[in-house]
Amino acid sequence: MASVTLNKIAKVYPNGFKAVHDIDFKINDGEFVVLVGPSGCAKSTLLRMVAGLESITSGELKIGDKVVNRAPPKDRGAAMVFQNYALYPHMKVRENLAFGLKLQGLPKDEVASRVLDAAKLLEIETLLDRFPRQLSGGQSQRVAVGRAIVKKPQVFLFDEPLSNLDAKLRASMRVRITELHQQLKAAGLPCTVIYVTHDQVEAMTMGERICVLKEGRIQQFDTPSMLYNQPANTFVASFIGSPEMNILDAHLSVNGSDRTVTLLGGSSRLPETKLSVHGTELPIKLGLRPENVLVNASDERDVLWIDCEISHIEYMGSEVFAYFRVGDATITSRLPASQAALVSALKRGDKARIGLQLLHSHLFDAETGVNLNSTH
Amino acid sequence: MSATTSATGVGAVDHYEVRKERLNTIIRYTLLITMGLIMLYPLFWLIGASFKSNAEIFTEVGFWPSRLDFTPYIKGWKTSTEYTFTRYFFNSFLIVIPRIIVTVISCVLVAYAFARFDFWGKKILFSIMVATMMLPQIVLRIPQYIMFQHFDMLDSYTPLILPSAFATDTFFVFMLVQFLRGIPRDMEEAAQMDGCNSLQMLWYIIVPLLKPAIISVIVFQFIWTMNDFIGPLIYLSSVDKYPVSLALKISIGATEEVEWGSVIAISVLALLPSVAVFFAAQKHFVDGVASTGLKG
Ligand SMILES: Nc1ncnc2c1ncn2[C@@H]1O[C@H](COP(=O)(O)OP(=O)(O)OP(=O)(O)O)[C@@H](O)[C@H]1O
Ligand SMILES: [Mg+2]
Repeated sequence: MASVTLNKIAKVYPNGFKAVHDIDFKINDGEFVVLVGPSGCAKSTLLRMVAGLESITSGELKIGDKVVNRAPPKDRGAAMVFQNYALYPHMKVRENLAFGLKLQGLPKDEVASRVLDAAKLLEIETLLDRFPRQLSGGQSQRVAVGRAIVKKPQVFLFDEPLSNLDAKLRASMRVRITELHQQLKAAGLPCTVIYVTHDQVEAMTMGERICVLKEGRIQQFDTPSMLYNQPANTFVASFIGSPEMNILDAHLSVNGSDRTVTLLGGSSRLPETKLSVHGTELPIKLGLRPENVLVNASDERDVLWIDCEISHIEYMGSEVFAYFRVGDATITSRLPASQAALVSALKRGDKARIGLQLLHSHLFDAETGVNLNSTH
Repeated sequence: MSATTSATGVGAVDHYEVRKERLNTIIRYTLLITMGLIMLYPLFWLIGASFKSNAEIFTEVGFWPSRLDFTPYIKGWKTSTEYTFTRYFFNSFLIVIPRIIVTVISCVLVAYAFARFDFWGKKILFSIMVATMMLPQIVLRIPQYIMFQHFDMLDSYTPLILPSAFATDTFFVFMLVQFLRGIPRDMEEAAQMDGCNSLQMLWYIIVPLLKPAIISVIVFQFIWTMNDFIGPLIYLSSVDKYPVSLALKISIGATEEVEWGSVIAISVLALLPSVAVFFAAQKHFVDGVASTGLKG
């Protein structure tokens, strides 16, 4: 009942800057959707428009079946968790949680029981009589989530709620929030979540679907695995996944069903895939995930072997990232720790041989960056 | 600061550093205390003189009185008029308290509007308001007097209180606006999501956050109104309505021979409310500043 539908939503700020360009999407009831993108891509703007804190220049915003373009925030059934928590400093935690409910005019015992339920869920019962300044960052964050939960909203809005926390706490809060969403769903109170982050790891681990934004435009709106395996364009391809996908200049020759790519001085026939290409000779961008770059391994089918120099190596514990130089291009390889021996002996500038598993490559248009795979 | 860090080290150099630091501190404090005492000297003299007789005031140089005699206080309090200073203090509070109340209400409302709402002509209105701060009060006296004469409000407290109900104390508005601008809007946005309308927002969120600034307004307005002499002098004509500042003046002029000891004794008493208010508020200044410190 509380889906969120954006229909050609646009935002022009008073200074004339167009931050959001005709965005369309539909978030289903109970879905966990992440808006992700680099800084300044209008994630917050979009979220604040849904919340009602920012006016909508044009388009139609629906929550449930109601058009809420002009509805004040409190009538939208949404609750928001702010990046810096925005707790009321002069109220105790208990009052912070109860404030919205009191304004709604709920009876006292109802308010008290809801506050207590939320506090139990988030394990902040012992903090109820403290002031916000007496809380740590992580505790403040849970209180901020609690303030949203007590209202039993139809839609939860999160604006980078974890970005002020240290890495460890962030990981545990990530799990907590996803669990909370599952818990509420299991309890028969599904709530729609729109979660904004600039961190692709957060996006990939939390989102049921992810909306990748760039400069106020949607790049791709899909499940995490689709984003990873079938990125719509070079932007999504390099934004999702760490280390970044290798994107190399290449040349494609089409001759009937035969396709040959030439790159970095080598060439190889491509396996059969459906490509939407026009013409027979064209420059392309070839994307290859670091895990599809082999090092000094035995020959394999559809692997293009290239001589290169090693640039540097990063040890990550369970895996190793190795960076190679071929002419002007840098190619990253991701190896399991068991293969670390292959590169650990190498010094900067040493010769190496890497194998590109072109079977797994993504081909993009050289100019527009659009994925040439015809499923898109 | 650096004394503690260097003291944890070892070696002769550190001892030298510590000693140098300590010497510095002593010099600094001596200088500050001397300056403070020089500035406070008139006050000490005033308190001392309040126990002296006329003869002693004009002959003795030191401020220490020869005896602790409270008769000037008793005499002064009685005054040579038909009312005692109890009446005059009461009158002062009859002006000060309502004035503070209307000042705070009007200034907070106006400052809230300027700091948080967009309305047509806001910039121009704000500059006009700031410009009136440059206007000397004295320029407004005559037109204001004539105006209140037409309203038939002379010889009452209304002319002293009413202007403040329209946020004419622009300095306070300006101060509150600046303070509000420094408070991030997130909390208000959160309150908006919680369902506050503009007035609820003001009452539940803005006013508590503004508390330190509002307390400053109260303190300043208290001290300034308490000490205001010209205003009451112009508008009040019956002695039974005089506030302390005016009563002090007539206690000098009323009798042929002025009892300076009594005048000074009452001056000391007249200072007390302002000093008391200041010290009572001091804790809240500090408190307020600490509680608005937002955690990032
Ligand atoms: N009040 C404003 N007036 C004009 N332009 C604005 C305003 N607020 C934001 N912008 C612009 O709109 C764009 C989107 O801003 P927004 O805050 O939504 O970015 P974001 O995706 O949330 O970035 P971040 O990850 O840094 O929070 C930015 O280019 C920003 O400069
Ligand atoms: Mg943002």
